Amino acid sequence: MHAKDPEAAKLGMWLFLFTEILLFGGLFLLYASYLYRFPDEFHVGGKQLSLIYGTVNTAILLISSWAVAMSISALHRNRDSLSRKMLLLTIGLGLVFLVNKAFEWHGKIAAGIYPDSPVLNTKPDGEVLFFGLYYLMTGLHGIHVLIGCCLLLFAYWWLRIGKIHRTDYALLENVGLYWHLVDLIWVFLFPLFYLIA
Amino acid sequence: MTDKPNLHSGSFTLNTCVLAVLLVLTVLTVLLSQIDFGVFDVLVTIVVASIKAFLIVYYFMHLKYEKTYFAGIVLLCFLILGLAIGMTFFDIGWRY
Repeated sequence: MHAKDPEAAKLGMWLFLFTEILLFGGLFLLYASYLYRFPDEFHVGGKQLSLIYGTVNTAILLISSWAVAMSISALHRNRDSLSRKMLLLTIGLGLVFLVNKAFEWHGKIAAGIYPDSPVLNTKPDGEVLFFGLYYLMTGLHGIHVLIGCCLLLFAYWWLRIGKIHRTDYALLENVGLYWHLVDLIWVFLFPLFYLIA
Repeated sequence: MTDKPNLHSGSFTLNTCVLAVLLVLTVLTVLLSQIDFGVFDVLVTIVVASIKAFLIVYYFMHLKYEKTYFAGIVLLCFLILGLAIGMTFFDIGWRY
């Protein structure tokens, strides 16, 4: 049996999350520089995104973040069954987020707006950049949502078989931290693409 | 271990209150985006997003319950990111 150190496990997870923050931070910097260079084109681009989809997806991710927090709180309070249900709710909400995103992307692609499309290539440079960044950043974020759902599924399984329990829950906490980070990034992505522009 | 609940996480009520505030702030930021603040548009939006980010990190990510050095390193990370973004803007804003 290995000696377990939950604090070290959490510290390790946070260090990994910092690399994620810097990864997206670099992309935010790129976005901000081009927004500064092409404010009008970014405005035109942003107007073409659906505020409804963006707002609903924001609410879905926030509620899913709450569900993970509730899952950990429930486990700490001996409510194991509630803890598992909250994890399933989180995974479900994550999948709904992805389905919404798929509909949103599909709408744009059907309208001929995707990287290097004939329609987009006739538009001004700023708009091409806006949609390039839109697909890159929401796509990268979407991959993180998908990975998060898989990790949550593992956590659910580990809870079921007793690998995670009330006194040994570092794994659940770290999966939760990852999921909150996914939410955190969306909290900045949403206003940048749907509101500011 | 005793049956005493482990209080290294927020109560159900606290979690739900934080969620309610986050949802209200989301509606607020959408409403604020309809108003034209001119050059302060970006600033207003980033401030609301930062408040939301703080709530998530502090309550949901349990920074409230961790040892102080956790808060220190998280702050340091955001500070470095802020410095990189700030210095880049200083450059592209005033160089030419």
